Amino acid sequence: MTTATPLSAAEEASQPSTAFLELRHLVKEFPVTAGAVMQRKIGTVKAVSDVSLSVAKGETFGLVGESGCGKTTIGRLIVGLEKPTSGQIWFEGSDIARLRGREFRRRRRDLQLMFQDPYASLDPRMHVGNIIREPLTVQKIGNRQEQDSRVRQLLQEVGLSPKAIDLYPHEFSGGQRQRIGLARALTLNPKLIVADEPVSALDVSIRSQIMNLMNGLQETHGLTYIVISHDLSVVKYLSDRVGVMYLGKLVEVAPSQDIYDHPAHPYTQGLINAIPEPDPKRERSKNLQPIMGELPSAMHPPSGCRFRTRCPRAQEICAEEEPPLRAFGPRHIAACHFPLQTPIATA
Amino acid sequence: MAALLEIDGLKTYIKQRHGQVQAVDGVSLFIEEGETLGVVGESGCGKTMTGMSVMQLLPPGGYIAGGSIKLDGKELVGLSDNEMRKVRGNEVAVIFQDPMTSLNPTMNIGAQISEGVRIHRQVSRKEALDRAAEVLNLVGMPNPRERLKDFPHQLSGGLRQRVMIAMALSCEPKLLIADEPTTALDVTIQLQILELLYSLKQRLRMAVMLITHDMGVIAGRADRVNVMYAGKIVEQAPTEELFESMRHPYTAALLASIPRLSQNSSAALYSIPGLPPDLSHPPAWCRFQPRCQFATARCREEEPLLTGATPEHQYACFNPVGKGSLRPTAPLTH
Repeated sequence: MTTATPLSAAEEASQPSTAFLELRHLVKEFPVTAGAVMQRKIGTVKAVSDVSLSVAKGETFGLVGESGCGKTTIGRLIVGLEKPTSGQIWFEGSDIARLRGREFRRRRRDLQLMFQDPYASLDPRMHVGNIIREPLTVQKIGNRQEQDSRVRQLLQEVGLSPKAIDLYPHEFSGGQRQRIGLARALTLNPKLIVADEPVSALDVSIRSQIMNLMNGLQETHGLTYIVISHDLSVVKYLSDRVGVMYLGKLVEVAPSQDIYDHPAHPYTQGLINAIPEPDPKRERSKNLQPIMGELPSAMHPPSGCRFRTRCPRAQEICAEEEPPLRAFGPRHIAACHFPLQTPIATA
Repeated sequence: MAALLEIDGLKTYIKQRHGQVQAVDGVSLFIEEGETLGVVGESGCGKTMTGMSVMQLLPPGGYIAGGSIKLDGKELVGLSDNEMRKVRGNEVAVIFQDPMTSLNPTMNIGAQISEGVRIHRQVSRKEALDRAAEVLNLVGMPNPRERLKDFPHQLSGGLRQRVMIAMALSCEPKLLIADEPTTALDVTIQLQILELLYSLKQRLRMAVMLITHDMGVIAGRADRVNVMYAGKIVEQAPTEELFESMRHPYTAALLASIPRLSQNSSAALYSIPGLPPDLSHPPAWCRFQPRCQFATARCREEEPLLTGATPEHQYACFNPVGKGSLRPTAPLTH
């Protein structure tokens, strides 16, 4: 991307951010093409549409939403796997969206990604030792011996035996592979780890092992996590604060207990209702009002509030005006014309 | 009155190059007419194989090594392929987990739904298509008539699962096997589909075998529950009783390791140490014993059989847990 910072954020843009991580008016568009040979661009999908948020050091921020809401794209933008169409990503005082070449590579050490699918994200032809070592080789850190001892130390930290070094990924179960993925993410001693659906592919009894391991490592390494998941109960368990996304927009952000106790956005409420809880009395007494219909096309999102086509509270104004983010309490914001709580001010 | 489905001592094994996997090892269960039986467990516990044994749709190398499966008093084990074909889709139908891969991408949905109707009901093509539109309407498909000509790729995941359900219901089966019917769907769509299944079950007075890994889905939808571990049923009980006073340590551990929305998240989750066993070499005697914090010498010398104070609530454990006696131990890192 060669375009300069967008005009819409011109004023703010001149101010560097003091937050640990701050996203400002982040937008990511993907072209939609048609035709197998002569690919014509027939439109764009705004996967992320004007998202701003900041994350403090040592915090765990959870991003939750359904497929296609843009949560994974935000994760990939933060670690630099995608470049934003516009907007800024401030990390420890520099806009990493604008870094290039050597500077970018150096900065990237601090930002690592833990992938969703432990079956697809590890190279099946590499020994586990080399998988964990690879980031050190790429960044040219340490000699062979130093790298070896680092690999051993990492394996121990994630609870795997040093014997794993000479084995291949297929010799491990899903949970163990996710530990390998976590070890690799930790290799360069990052400050921030984006964990994209870290436990979705795992069985229930293995999930809690990995979540507890992530919490333990966060304490010992002072890590900051961005946890991305479709599962609100996982996100709530791991996170200090939760952001709810819908069709590329951040619709509500609040401390994780708050978002469950006092959701302001009807979509958040709908998500909470939709999650089946392992408690028959609760489940059967729930007043189930499913969110109607299906996700609209991201190429042609609804005008005004994007959730209005499925919202039980929608009225005329929702089609005309996009609701602004308003404050509903300390660190609690939501974008809705007819929220479930009383707003205290415009954020 | 005999139950609609009675499975007794079912053993389903899968032959592999090196030995065989005892995927289902001595499972007995029953489903009454109009009842929803939940079968819950983790991957590889044999829950899907149990369902597929009823349909006799087993993977390559899979065979029923013993036991009996009676549907409405009729023995299904040992039926010829031809006889089984009359049962499948007619008296028992199945909905698979993944609506993306279980529909035929080269046939429009009208043809796919009416195929089964024509085989089982000897009706004309037109009548079969009418029936297809009727069931599509039943499952809440908007404009069912026009949709008959659509191909699966033109539909979203939720609509495809509705097509799967319509197909399963087209011959009004007495038993529906729903194998992870909502696992591939988003939560808001999951709720729509579960509500749909429930209302259809009521209207058609159909029995449902609900196979899932999700204790939350079980809690809301099943009348009774069978918990499976490593090819065996470890506990069976009416749903409310199971959640209130589970006796098997595995059931208790499984429930304690699920993060709940309604709980404060500061407490560490319980975590079951170790991994589920390799079923080509299952542990001797109690199969959960290597991961169980209550295991004693007896668990390694004798197999616990299903017992219990009442016939409704049975568990296979020598050292059952009492109400709430399982406390999460210190958070385990490995």
